[in-house]
Amino acid sequence: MYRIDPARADLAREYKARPNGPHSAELQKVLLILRWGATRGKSVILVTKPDREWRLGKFGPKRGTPMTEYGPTYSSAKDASWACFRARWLETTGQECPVE
Amino acid sequence: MAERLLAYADRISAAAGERIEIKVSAPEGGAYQAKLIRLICGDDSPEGPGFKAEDIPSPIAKSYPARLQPIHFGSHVEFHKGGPLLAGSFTFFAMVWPTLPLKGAPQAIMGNFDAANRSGCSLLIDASGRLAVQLGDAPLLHLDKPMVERQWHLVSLAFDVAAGTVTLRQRVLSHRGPGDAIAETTRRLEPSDAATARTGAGVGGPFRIAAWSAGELAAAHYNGKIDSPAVIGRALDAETIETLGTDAKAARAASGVLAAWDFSQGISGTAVTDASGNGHQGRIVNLPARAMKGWNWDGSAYDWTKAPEQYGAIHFHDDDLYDCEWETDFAWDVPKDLKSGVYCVQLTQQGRSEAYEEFVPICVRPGPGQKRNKLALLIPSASYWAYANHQMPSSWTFNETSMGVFETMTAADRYLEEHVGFGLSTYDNHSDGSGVCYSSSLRPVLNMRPKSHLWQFNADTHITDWLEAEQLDYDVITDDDLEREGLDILKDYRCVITGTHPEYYTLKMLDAVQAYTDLGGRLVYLGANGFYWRIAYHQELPGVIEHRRAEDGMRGWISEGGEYYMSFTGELGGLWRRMDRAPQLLCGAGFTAQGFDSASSYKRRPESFDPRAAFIFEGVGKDEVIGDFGTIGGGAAGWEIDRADLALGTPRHALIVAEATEFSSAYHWVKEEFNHTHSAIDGDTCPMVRCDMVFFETPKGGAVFSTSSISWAGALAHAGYKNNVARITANVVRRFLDPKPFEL
Ligand SMILES: [Fe+2]
Repeated sequence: MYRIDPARADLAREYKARPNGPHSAELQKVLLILRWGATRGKSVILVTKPDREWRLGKFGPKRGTPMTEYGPTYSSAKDASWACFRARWLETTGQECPVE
Repeated sequence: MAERLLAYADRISAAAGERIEIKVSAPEGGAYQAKLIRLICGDDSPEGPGFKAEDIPSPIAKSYPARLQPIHFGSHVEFHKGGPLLAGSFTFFAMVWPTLPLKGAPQAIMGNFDAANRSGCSLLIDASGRLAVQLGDAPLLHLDKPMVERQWHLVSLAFDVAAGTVTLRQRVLSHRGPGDAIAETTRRLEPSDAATARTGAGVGGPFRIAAWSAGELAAAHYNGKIDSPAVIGRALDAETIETLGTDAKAARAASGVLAAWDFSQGISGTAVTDASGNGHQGRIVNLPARAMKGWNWDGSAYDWTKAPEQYGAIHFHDDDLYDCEWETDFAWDVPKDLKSGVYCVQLTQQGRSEAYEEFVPICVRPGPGQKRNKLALLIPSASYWAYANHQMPSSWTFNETSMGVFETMTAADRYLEEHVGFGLSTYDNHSDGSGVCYSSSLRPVLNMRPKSHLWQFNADTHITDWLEAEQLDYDVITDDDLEREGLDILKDYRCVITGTHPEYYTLKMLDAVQAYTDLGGRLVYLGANGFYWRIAYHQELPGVIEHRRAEDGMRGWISEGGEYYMSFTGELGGLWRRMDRAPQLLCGAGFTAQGFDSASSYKRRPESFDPRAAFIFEGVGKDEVIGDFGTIGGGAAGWEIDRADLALGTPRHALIVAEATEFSSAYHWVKEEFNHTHSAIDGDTCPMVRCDMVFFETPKGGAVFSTSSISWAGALAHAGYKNNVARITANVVRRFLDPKPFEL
């Protein structure tokens, strides 16, 4: 199975530059792994002001429990996607994404 | 957690001259305001045409006292006369298939325990997943062995007054070890008389199945199936319980029988039949799933109408909801001369720190005798119900890999995640993981309103927006009307336009649209993944559809084998294409792929230069790229896309006038078309990932035009409606409104 090399700054940079794609074949693999399975427990994007402000957050343990928000606010969907990519990189590989 | 102003109407469609009732729950006290608008465009995103509405003077436009209205969710059975009375010795038994034994809260199987005064007696699953009995305010008696998720158990509770004992017993039917299939425990009641008294006549609440009482309300809802529950008015030993518990006929005739319910009777309705002859008839509340495989299902029949005795189970869920049953706040008498259109009751409340706003859409169709326009927009309300309050972010473990994006939760998504009880959509799983097969309109539907995600209702307002910009007079009719009236509601229109995603169709609806085109009507299919799933409306209850995700297709969940036939009608659920009614037969194109990262554009094909198609492309250049713009993915071909296919019924004479072929790897070919899994299924590698614009003439002077893309309507408003997507749409609609017959 393909494993994400947490040192691969080139792939992170590629996503940061073009979060909506198109993505290289290898970045596609990385994204499928970052996105595999249920989102409960993983960082997701919350729209905090429609079309204006986004934040990262997480689901509660089950339906009917509050979601949590964390980190800074973002003023574009693109920036929020990049933040989510970095959060997932850490959650999936156990290592910080090498690109700020 | 943020609160919302919530509301719904008793139906989505009203004819001019009719009365429609509005029900509201306000988050704060004081008052809220209502007004009436005619909605032109609900897309308030920065890229879109903007929110556009016309204020309509109406007597309903005023201030109303605000109040909270509760939602009582969770399904169960209740009894007209309170159910069997428990006096002296008795035994409960049933076959049960628990789906969430480790819920962490009590789940009542049957009995008359009332939590409000802690009296009565119910058999239940306790918070740790063990069979237990709640007897008055005595501590729970439970078995040591936990119940096994998704396995049939014969469970019983025998209460013996003479011996002063209560005995709990379970047998796992398909026991796989280790240990014994049977667990049993008996407790001597001390003091026995007091405990006995608590269960006696006049004590406890009304008898319920799959819940107990908390005063007037039902509580402790059960998750899972129950089959053939019975109450016998004496204490039975294990051997008798085994005999009667595995032979429903014997149970109904057993000596001392008080009630023996047969859930396989009246599957399409809400009545629950007591087959013992003692008349303890009941009714289901909040539509638990019927036509469910029973404990004795042996695989010999897949159609419950052919072997109902094997479909004696009802699957209950703690999050089932049919009708909120809110009180009406006010009624709107739709004026007789009001022009047809999409209207909304707009509600606002200024709270202490927040301003709340909600909209209740109402499609007004022409009243009897009122003059009709030649053009109708057929609002795909059945598909709105299918998607109503969907919670894909939490239901779908494959949502991100399917969509190709990170989950992005809007305020409405978040509200539904944080507040259970609003009912689910046919895209979701219940809290026990089972698929949701019913969806109702009698509840606040947070994703059917302007200023929301551009999907279904709000995306369809791109069409009304364009119709207004193009100054075309149109009527608005809905799927709910089509289901009621059939062809009659279509036949006087010269041209009918669909919404962007008319995915869910009943047989009656599909037959009506097919007959409309066969009789010379002109159909403009401005969407994709239409006419795809077969559904049914309930034959008695208003405002609720059923869907079984049978066999194949792009499915939110998968129906269990043997549960493919709909309870409402006995019809097979699933894809229309598996019933020889592929969408290509009606519109020349049918679902072929979807992706949600970006949209594409069309190129003209040689057929577009056929004189038959000349009217479509008037004013569009030979090599012009069509629709490389738009608010839905930046192109007119995208999100979900359809393909022509002669093998699936695209007419031989159809012209594929344009096509879009450049899609990203986030686009995936539909799964019902490949035999084996393989990697060549995406926009990079799979030639089936394409979008075909189709035109063909029909008998009796009619014609069909299909854009085959959900994104199309999002491109109409580009550059002040002066663009080739709008141009093509106008060319087609104007020609379709021209009575001059098309030649076949
Ligand atoms: Fe759909």
